[in-house]
Amino acid sequence: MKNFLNPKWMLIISTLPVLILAIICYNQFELITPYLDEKAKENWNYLFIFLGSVSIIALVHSIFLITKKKLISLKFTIIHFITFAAFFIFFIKNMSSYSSWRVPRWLTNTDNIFQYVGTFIIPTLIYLMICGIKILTPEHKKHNALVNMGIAVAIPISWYIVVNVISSFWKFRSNEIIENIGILLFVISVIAFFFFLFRFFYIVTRKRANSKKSNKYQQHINFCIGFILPLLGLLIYAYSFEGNLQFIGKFDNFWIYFFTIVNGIVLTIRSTSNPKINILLFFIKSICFTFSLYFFVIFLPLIPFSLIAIIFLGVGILMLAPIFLFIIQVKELRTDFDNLSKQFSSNKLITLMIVGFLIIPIGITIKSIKDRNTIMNTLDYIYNPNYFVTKDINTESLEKVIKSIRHNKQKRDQLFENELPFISNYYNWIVLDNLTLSEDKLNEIESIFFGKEYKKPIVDFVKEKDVIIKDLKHKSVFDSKNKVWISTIDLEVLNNLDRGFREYSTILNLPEGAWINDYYLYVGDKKEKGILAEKKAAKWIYSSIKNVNRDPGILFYTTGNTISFRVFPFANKELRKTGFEIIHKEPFLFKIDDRKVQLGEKNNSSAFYENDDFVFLTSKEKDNLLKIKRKGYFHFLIDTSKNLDRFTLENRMEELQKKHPEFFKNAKITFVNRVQKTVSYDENWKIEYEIFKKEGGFYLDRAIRENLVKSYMNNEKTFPIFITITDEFDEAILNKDFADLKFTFPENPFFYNLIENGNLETHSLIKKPRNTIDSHEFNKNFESVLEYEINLTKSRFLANNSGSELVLKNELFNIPEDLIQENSAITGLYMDAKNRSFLLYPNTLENDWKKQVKYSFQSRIMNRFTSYIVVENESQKKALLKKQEEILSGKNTLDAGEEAQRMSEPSMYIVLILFLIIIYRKKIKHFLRKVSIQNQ
Amino acid sequence: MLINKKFGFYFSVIFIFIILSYLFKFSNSENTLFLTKPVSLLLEFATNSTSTFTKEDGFYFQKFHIYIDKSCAGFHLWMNSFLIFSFLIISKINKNLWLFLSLFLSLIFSYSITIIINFFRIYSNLILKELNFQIMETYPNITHQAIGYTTTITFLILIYYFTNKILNKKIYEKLS
Repeated sequence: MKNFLNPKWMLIISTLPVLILAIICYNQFELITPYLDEKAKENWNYLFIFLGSVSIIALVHSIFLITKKKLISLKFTIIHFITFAAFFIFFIKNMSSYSSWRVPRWLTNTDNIFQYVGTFIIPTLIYLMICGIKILTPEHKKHNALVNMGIAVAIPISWYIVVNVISSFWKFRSNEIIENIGILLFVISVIAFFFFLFRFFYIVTRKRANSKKSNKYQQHINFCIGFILPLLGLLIYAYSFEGNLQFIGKFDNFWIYFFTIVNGIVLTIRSTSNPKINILLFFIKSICFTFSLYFFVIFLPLIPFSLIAIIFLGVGILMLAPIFLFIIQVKELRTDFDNLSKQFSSNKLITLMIVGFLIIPIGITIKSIKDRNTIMNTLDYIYNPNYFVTKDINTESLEKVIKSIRHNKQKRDQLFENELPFISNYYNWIVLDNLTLSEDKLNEIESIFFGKEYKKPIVDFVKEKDVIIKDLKHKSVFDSKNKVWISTIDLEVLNNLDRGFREYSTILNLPEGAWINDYYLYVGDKKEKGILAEKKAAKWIYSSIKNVNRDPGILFYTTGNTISFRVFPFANKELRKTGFEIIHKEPFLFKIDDRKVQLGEKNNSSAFYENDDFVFLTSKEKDNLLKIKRKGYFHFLIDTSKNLDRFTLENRMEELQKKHPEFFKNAKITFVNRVQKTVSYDENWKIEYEIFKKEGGFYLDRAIRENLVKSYMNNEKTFPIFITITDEFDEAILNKDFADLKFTFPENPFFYNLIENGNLETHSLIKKPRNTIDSHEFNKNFESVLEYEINLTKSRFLANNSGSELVLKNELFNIPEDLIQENSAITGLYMDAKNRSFLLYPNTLENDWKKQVKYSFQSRIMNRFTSYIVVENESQKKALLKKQEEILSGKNTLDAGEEAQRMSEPSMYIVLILFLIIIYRKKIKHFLRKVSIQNQ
Repeated sequence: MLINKKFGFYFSVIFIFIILSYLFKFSNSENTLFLTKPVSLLLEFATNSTSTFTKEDGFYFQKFHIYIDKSCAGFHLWMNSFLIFSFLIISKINKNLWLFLSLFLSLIFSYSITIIINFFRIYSNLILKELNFQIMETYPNITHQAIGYTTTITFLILIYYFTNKILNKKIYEKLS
């Protein structure tokens, strides 16, 4: 305590934490500023001004004392204690005004500003109080510790009497002045309580230090403070609040109890004569030090409020247990270090101590990284799967991560932190990286992996019958340079109703070799050209603009070659003009709603195109291909999310076999839940079925996709006929159709559900697969297909129709960037081919999709990753571009082709630090050498 | 006493540093013209190219497809060099008048070297880009930052040592 009054401690305990707090608050403020109203922003400004003022005054005063070589005086402690305390009270009083309900929970990442302010301000208050105690308790005077304890105890008792006894006799009139006086008196009481309490401990500790007698009760005190109090606190907390009080945290974790017990034990054990045991105990205490430090930091902001808990709950004294424990822990470590340094070198002890400190943080980090890998693998498994590699997901870890994500999404209306303060933030930062998952995605994950009820996604598209096309004009011009047709479609759309705010929406189906190249929408009298934007950003801005009834129009791919086209809003009886441009290799009949127009006309130009990676075949080339009939086989997809009775399964399959025995040759069975396993239809399948673990959900979407892709890549002259066997087809996880993969099932666009008596219900692979098609029965006469030979060993089988078709020769390839040009059909074909590659190898999507966005921008051709959108004004355009930037996260992905590079300068702080290290490297070396000699 | 007097100047330098850094956050491309324009002019001269200025994006060099705006103005470099050279000058000088002047002189001096160092930083980037190194294609961000740090720190250290030598020499001559 000798040097405690040295003002340099003020810089370390006060200035540095306040600086960190200012940075954290400022970052928080910057993050949520767009969502705050003017009043909240004003409150933040006052907060910064107040914080800045109190800390600068303290800093200047401290530096002044340092230069004058004076110690901290009573005047210093009183002045700065009052200013910091005033700031803390000001903050508490206005706490609810620093945020807004509009701030999304995922944005703030569960930051708890109360926790930060408390953690960084309370140490200053405690330090100043201790300085005050030291100055007012000089060594040369006698002080009675019990008197101090008596005063400290009297304060909560007095308040208890005041609140419970007097108030019941005297009804206070609600009065702001009396309220403020009450608060002021309470604040003074809190300060007085802690002053006398700490003073009691100070006097006792000083007496013991001066007495030179060894404290025979030290182990008992350690046991009480290190073991009894914390454990009692945890148990009462668990019993009274179910281990989860919002403004403290969730402490029902096994590890918390584990470390509490271990820490209590090691603090109680005396040093032995065996140096190895002593060093082991020292190491364990170092590990547990981090644990004690954590709770010390958590409970630091709650110190002023512990008095309330003491008054009303009595056991509130346990809230101070982490503080006492931390003090004991530091003391024990210090004592052990001094004792062990007689036998071991200081450097070794320091190293051991640092390693001990880092064990728990490293453990948490490793666990967080593991969880991150789990969630990323899960997302990849569902959205970017590799059909050819089996990956298992740790479902236990996944469940925890999902819980954490849901938790963050739900708790948006509370200022206080939940879970484990700071650790939760750190965990979220590593695992989620400020990410959020939509409710649909979370539901899907839980349905697939944990068998929870599958919530079918809401269908966004609702066609309004009363908003129709009044007029359609078209024009087609052949671009002989690019060998492509450029057709413009101009529409007049009318709202037939007397009601406003209607939306026009329709679906367009473009053939292979046709793409949207431009878009416009009249906003008032002005023709606004469409912006080609990243699809997610465009859809997001369309929704948000729609919600405030502005004027957007949008075009985007849904599945396969289907494009959604929407315009909003239409006032009563309003007529609006819009249109788009299509480039296409061949003439075709364009259909929109009930209108049909011929775009382009036959000419001498051939649309055929071929390179090393793919070929675009027209009907003329297809006519020359060999027509064959492949053999179909049943591929059973058995629902193993529930334990279907095996005999029921067998009966159904036997009944089906009686009706269609020819398809049982080479039949396969896939057991489907969160994972899939495929076996042959032979005697062993029954054993395999019994062994296979029944869990998760009936992930039919993945099963069909994976098997379609594998069948396509297998290159065989057979094709699968999918038969699902389940008692709850409605529970199947099947959220979209398979129109994208149409090229993998040229014979048969249906799959079937096997029910009793060997009957089959028909479902479409192309449209609304959940629905049963009553009008279509199982037809064993399948279409023939056309065989396209890529080489001697590899063929692809195409639909036997007159439509053009794109065929991949090489499933994995890169698009040559010099071929990306505006109005180029070759660019369009390359992008379509690449999209097909993504469908076969979704695991390659993550690395490549941004390039597809870039190519779309460069060529002005809309692809599956982009959208044409018209926005009304500059601010909407800015919002769109900002959102797009977030999604693409990084300009360098767009490269010089789209975005110019900014010559950003290096970080100010890093340059300064590096400069100082280089300039003062000799002094730093000398200083380190000096420290090392001193320690030896 | 000497330490006390100088403490005030050190404090003033830090105060100016903090205030200017804080104000910079609210500036735009127009406010930083005094830094970006000289650099752009030097680049135009060195590369025989032209630039166009817009309020939103700063100076755009079409030839290289780059922007020089607030983020590349060199403000951070200016502040760093102001801090370094003020401290250097204050530590060497004792006379009151020169202590006052040192604040003003460091600001001007550091501004001048900022323009030069920033120009060299951007120019080096352009030259290396023209040489088409594979690593610049693969890791454009990292290489850009590496070039920035290398040129900035090298120049800062060289100028620091040079200035330190001159000041020491002047003091030695005065004392002898």
